[in-house]
Amino acid sequence: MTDPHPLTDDDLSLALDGEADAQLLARIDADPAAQARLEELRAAAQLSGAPVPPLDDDVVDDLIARAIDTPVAPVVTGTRRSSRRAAPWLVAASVVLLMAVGLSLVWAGRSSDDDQASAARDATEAAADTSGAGSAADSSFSESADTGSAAADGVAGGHGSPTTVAPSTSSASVPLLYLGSYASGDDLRAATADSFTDAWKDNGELTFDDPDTESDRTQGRSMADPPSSASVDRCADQLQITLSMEGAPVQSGYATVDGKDVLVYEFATASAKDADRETTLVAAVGADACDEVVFFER
Amino acid sequence: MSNVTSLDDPARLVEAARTGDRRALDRLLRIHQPQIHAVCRRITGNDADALDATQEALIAIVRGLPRFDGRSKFSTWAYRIATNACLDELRRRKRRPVVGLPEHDGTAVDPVDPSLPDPGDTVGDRDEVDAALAQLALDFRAAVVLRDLCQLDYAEIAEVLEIPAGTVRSRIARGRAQLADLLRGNQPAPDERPTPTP
Repeated sequence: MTDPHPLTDDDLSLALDGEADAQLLARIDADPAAQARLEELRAAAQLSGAPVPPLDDDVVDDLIARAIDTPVAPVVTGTRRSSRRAAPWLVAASVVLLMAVGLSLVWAGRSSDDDQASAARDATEAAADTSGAGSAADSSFSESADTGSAAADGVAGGHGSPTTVAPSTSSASVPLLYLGSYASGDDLRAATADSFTDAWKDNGELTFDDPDTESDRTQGRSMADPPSSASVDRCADQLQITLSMEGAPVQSGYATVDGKDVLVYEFATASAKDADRETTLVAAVGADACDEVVFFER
Repeated sequence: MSNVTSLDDPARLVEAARTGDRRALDRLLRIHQPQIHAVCRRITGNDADALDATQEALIAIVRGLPRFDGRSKFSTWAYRIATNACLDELRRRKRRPVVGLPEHDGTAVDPVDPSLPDPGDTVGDRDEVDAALAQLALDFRAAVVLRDLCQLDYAEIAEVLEIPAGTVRSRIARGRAQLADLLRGNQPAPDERPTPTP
């Protein structure tokens, strides 16, 4: 008599995984074809379970170091910037280029050969200017990184002197507040838990807003010396991208944490826990490498 | 400073890492990295993608750790992140052009489409395991790897893949059956291949 419910691969796979009941196991034992198929499935399981050679120790070290040193990015629902959106400078440059070419074509239609040559020359120059601006904007990150480190090398000034640093781009409208010196990131977090102003007032209310003093810096840099505007902007730009922030920092400051110069930013954003709640993200990073010191949400 | 003895306890290790203990985090990642890489190696099918997926998974673990609520085992949570990182990596690979593979004749192939084989199948130096697993649909491949390589039980795999346990059982059985057929030299018929899970 034919079995109305022949054993399937599902049944045999269950047996292979120790999930079959006694009745199913008995049926398999009594069926040579099922046993043969079971062995085929066992061979398949051994194949897919074949061990993977481990990575070299230095590769593992590198993977883990990168993972730990990557800034923590909050989940910001609905406000994430599209990576495909064209940069504003690129749009502007394209418009200028198109206008230049269009005008030259119109002019060429009305002019003599000499005039056409002149207009074309003008258009070419305009395009070159535009393209140069684009290139400059495109490479601004690496340039600012270079100038950042160069400026950092020459930073000096007295403790408490109202010097600085006029942030040139993203932080240009934000005064740079001195937030103090702390033994750990947690201490900095505690001092800025409610606002930057608390820490700023506790540390002499130093604000840096004079761009000319940057070139006047001398030797003898102290803990309260401001970082360069390039490094302030460089880390702000990096954080804005890494953390998917919609806008530039609404507040910037600097501090010393365990002897390390630290830049501290405050971004207006949606809460990672509740996307409908507006909050501020405080991000403190090392001034040299923009590496994470402490990140928290208010 | 972490107490070394306390970090021998997995739960305390996770908690210490969650609260920002860098040494605990380093240790936690070192403990789980081999299995994460193994999963990525078998699911992606090649060293380069596996390395990228492993890196992404480790970063995602570090980023997500403050939100890890402990309702599932850490390893289960880590496997879920690793599996998702692998799928993301394969999607990225899909966006890269596939050029000059003789079998596909330059036609774009969707490696994430479970009805199609991995485009890397044609590379001659793949080992037998990769070549066989690459023939499986991704959803079958993930289930089989989590069971046979990681030794997760059906309930854990269901949690990792966020599918019912019955679906896990079916995917493992069908994945193994296809592998068994491949080992016998029989290519599974296209109509036996699974349809994508929504």
